Amino acid sequence: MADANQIIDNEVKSNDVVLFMKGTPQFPMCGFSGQVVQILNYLGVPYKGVNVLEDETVRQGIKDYSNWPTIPQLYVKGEFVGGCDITREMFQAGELQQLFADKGPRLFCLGHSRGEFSLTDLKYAPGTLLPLVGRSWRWGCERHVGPVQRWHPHP
Amino acid sequence: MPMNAGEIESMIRAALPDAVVEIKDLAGDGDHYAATVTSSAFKGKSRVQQHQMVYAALQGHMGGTLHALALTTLAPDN
Repeated sequence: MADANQIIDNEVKSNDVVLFMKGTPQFPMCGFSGQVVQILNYLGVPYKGVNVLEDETVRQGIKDYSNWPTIPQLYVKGEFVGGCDITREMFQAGELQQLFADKGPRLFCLGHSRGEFSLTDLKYAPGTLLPLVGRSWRWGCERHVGPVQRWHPHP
Repeated sequence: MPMNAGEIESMIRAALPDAVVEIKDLAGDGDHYAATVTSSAFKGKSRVQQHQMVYAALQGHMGGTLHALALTTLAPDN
């Protein structure tokens, strides 16, 4: 029998952003999991969803892993961020965006083909228009003049 | 059996005596609550730690008999 703790630990450590949830990002099976999915999708952050309904040992194990009694659970760079309430509160306060900016995976925007965005760009949701600072696009790059598009992992 | 709001409040206050606890029964079904807990014990603690303190006060009911409790924790100003 695979050790649930090992499976969980491996998911948490091998994915920059991982959400333990009921259902999948495409089909959340619980309103709380769905709320976190909506936030992550809105921010355009790539993440892995782990469906705890598919494995009873993971469903129980994740609660012991983090000493947290409920699902969903969001992890960024190996650290437990919180459940639905905390994630939503942090999102509303702009703290989640800052967390991804500080700790998130290196990403670039599909709207331009070459230059990299700095990590702080993640503060800006897809659709945001970026202000021009001096001669260069402070939050964009000279090759892309326009709204932020979906974030993608840097190859 | 679901828990009533009074039980939830008294369990929280038993662990955090100075806590101000406000509970709303979201769906009117005695099963989906929202609670705001204000306690000086939260000072200097992260949100995760604050919520863990409330969950500990609920002694395993959270996620079990207590199906849904949307939680907001606050440390009092000053």
